[in-house]
Parts: sequence; structure tokens; C-alpha cells
Amino acid sequence: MKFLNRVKSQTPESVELEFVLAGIGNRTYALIIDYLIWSSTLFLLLIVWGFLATQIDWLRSDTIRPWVSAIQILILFGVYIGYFVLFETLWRGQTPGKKYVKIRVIREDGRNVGVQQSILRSLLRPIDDIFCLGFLLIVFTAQEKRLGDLVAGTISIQEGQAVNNQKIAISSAAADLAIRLSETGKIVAISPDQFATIRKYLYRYSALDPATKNRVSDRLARQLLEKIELADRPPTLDSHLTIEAIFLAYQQQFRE
Amino acid sequence: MAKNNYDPVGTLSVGNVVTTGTTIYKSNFKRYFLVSLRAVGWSIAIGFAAVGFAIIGGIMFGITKSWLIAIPLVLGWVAVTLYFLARYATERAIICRLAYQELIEAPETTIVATQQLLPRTWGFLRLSWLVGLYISLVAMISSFALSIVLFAVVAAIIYGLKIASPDPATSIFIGLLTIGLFCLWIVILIRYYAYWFVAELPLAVESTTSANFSIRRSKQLTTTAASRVVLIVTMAFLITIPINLLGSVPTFIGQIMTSPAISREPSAQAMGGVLILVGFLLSLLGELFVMPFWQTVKAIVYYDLRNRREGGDLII
Repeated sequence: MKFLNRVKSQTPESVELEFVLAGIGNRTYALIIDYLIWSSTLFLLLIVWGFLATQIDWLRSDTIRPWVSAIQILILFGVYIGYFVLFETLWRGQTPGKKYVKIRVIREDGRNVGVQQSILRSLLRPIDDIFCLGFLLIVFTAQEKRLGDLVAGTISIQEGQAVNNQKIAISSAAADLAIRLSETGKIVAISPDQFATIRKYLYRYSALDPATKNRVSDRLARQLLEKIELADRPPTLDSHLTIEAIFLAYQQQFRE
Repeated sequence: MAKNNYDPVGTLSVGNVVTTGTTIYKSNFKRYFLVSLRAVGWSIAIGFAAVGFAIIGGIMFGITKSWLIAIPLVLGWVAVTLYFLARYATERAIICRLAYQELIEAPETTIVATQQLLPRTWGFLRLSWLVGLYISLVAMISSFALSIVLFAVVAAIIYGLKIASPDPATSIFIGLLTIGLFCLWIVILIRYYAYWFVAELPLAVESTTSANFSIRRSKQLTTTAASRVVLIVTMAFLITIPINLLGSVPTFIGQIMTSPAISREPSAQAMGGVLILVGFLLSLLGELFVMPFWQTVKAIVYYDLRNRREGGDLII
């Protein structure tokens, strides 16, 4: 999608990478999920604490109480800051919310974030939240960096999704047709971009409206057959099967 | 150069719909804002029309001393108000159309979009009236049904357990049940709102002139994706909070200051009144900025749903 911001970064080995930035929508979504988990954890801790404090007598003695309170505050602070630091460090820049939304925090040079960056981001989080400062910075700056990102030198990106061909169910009849098509048609005329469209079609075929499925298949099949110079195909040929076969034929030409 | 292949499927995630909304709005800010100004202009004109007709009515009554003069005046006032409302609805739809054209890479100027949609002005009035009617019907029927549930449960507890005075446990249970049912009511409302979320779009960009068709189409497109739309509406609402707060914070403080329970001092009352007025003006200003964003998000949801259901982008 051309409406999402991109950023180029250079790794220490001088490899240039291009990333799609996470964007305000994904970051808000991830933050909501994280805040839900995180606040319910804090809430649970407080309940457990309240229960212990009322049920165990020696916790209430005057000599121990200040210590207990201090420990309690430490634990709460630990969870408050620790939630993001722990997950971002252990899960290579992801928290449960970010994982669900498929975004990740990385350093500007493309490396994984370390404890140092995570702590800086976490400590500056409250400042970013006040007056929605972080929100404004993410929306109005080119690299979508909130204060924490600026100081820690990090960016939030969308995770690359592995192209999972297993999700594409191809009928067995397509394999035979693929062999015939690659013998008679000019499969090499299909560009990688066009192949990507075929893959999108196969991914999304089952979710298409039943009333429009045939129209979409017919249109795409006709365009593809023209491309591989087989425009005078027999009219009995099933459109969806044709597209599946061209998909297979395109993949096979690189295997040989 | 290596790229992260974030999009093998070619559809938009919940977050990306909202992000795309901010990007399109940002890059077309001036154009959308001007249309938004026009829309607010029409809504202010409704107020002026009411005042204007009232003044004319007063003068005419003074001259003729007859109440019959009210009949043409009221009819005229209703007609003018309906026309202004229709124009207001059309201006909103124009932003939807502009954003959609941007998405399908066939951008239009505001003038062209306005020319295209002006003939459908009455359709947009009908559409906004119908959607408003449906949503209020859903709100009334569901609140009625949920109240019956609540009363039934409370009655069952009182008669079933033969409790004379409510004990704390029962009170807490009833309190929690009330909160739960209220949340359920909000969910039902948003869920139905999601069905009609993109209702303006078919009328704004397709070749139809029927408001009913447009509404049916919105429901047809969102039926299998209602929960996604609900999430998108929630996210879009959350990121507009900073602007909404702008107006609601002064209003809130003003209301506290003018409340008799807090203070009866005239100076505090006056200050509170000023704050409420400032809050009102700021929320009007906020609406001016937020409305185009919502219209843009609607256009993106519609675009994405059409791609998902009808594969419009699956061409080479």
C-alpha cells in the first residue's frame, strides 16, 4: 500500500533495507492490547497483595510494615517498567500486543533492540502518554518516532509476513493443466508483480463473495491467457483452474 | 535492496486502515478541511434560518395580527432546514468520494466531486435520516429488551429468595449485572453501527441514486466483517480522543464550577459559564477537524471490503 510510510536503513554491514513503518493504527491497537494485559496484571497483583496483607498477621507488625510497603512498591514499579522491557528484549522487539498486531521495534540500523533501548523507551513512555505527545509525534513525523524512539534510536516496523504457500489449496487437476500450459503458453511473459496478483487471488479466493467469484476468475484468467499468448483458449476451460495452473507453471519454470 | 514483504495478501489490517486514514487526510488536509468548513457552514445556517424565520414571523404577525401567517412560515422553515441538512450530508459524502477516488488512484478535484454528488443531494438526506432512524430503533428496542431482562432477574431474586431488604451480596450482584448489561448494550449499538458504517459510500461512488440500495449494500459488505469494522471504529475513536478532549475538558470543568454543590459564588458561576462556552466552541472546532478523518476511514473500509468481497484489485 503506497499510503504507508517507509524508511530505508543501513545495517552495520552496509546492506540497505527498506521497512514499512508500523503506523499510528497498528501502534494504537498494540498499545491497547498491552495496556489491557498489563493493567490486569497490576490489578491482580494488588488484589493478591490486599489478600495477603489482611490474612497474614506478621505482615502487619510495625517493624515489618515499612519494608513490606517498600517491596510492594518495588514490585509494582518492576511490573510497570518491566513488562515492556522484558518482552521487547526477550521477544526481539515485540510485546504480546505488538506480536498480535504483527509489528516490531528495531534499532535504526535494522538490528534487534537491546535492554538499553527498551529501558529508555519504557522510561519515556509516561511522558509520551501525557498530552498525547507520542501520538502527535508518530502522526506528524516522517519516521513516526515518539520521544522514546527518538532517544533510544529505534523505529517501529511492520513485520514481514512469510509467504505461506500451504494456505493456497490447489486442485489436483491443475497440475496436469500446468504442464500443458507451460508447453504451449509463454509463461515467462508473466512478471513477478503479476505473479503476486495471482497469489493474492488464490489466497483470497475463498473469502470472495460467491456472487462475484466467477466474474473475478474470468477476468483474471482472460488477462493471464492473453499475457501468455493463449488468448484463443477453449471456452470450456474453467477460469479458476486456469489461474491455478498458471500459478503452478510459473513456479515450476524456476525449479527446472 | 531487501524489502520486508509485509503484504502478500493485498488487504488492509485493522491498524493499517486507520494509518491509511491519517496519511490520506494529512496529504489532502487543505481540500478536505475546506469541504468540512462548508459542511459546518450549512449546519450553522440551520440555526440562522430558525432565527431568521422567527424574526420574519414576528414582524409579519405585528403587521397582520393573524396566526394564519405561521402556516407558510413554518412550511418554509421546514423546507429550508431540510435543504440545509441535505447539503450538510452531501458535503460529508463529498469527502468520502474524494478519499475513495484517491484510493483507486483516480483522484478528483473537489469541484468535480461536488458536481457529481449535487444531483444526489436528496438521496443523502434520505440516507442519513434512514440510518439515524435504524440506529435509534436498535437503541430503543435493545435497551427495552435489556431492561426487561434486568427487571426479570431482580424480581426473580426478590421473590425467589424471599429477601425483604437487599443484603450486600445481592446488591453487588445486581450492580454488576447492570454494568454488564450496559456494556452489552454498547456492544450491540456499535455492532449495528458497523453495519451502516459505509452506507454513504455506494451512493457517493457507485452509479446508484437509491438511498435504500446504498444502505442494503453497506450491510451486505459489512456482514462478514462486522467485528473488524467494530475494531476499526474503536481504533479511529481512540486516536481522535486528543482532539475530542480539547472541547470536553473545558466543558467538564465548567460544569463542575457551575454546579451548585461545589460553589454558589457568582464569579465561579460566571467563569464556569465561560468555560462551557469555550468548550462548546472548541468541540465545534474539533468536529471540523475530526469529521474528514472519519469520512476518510469510511472510504478506506469500503474500499477494502469491496476488494475482499469483490476482488476489484485482482487484475493485472
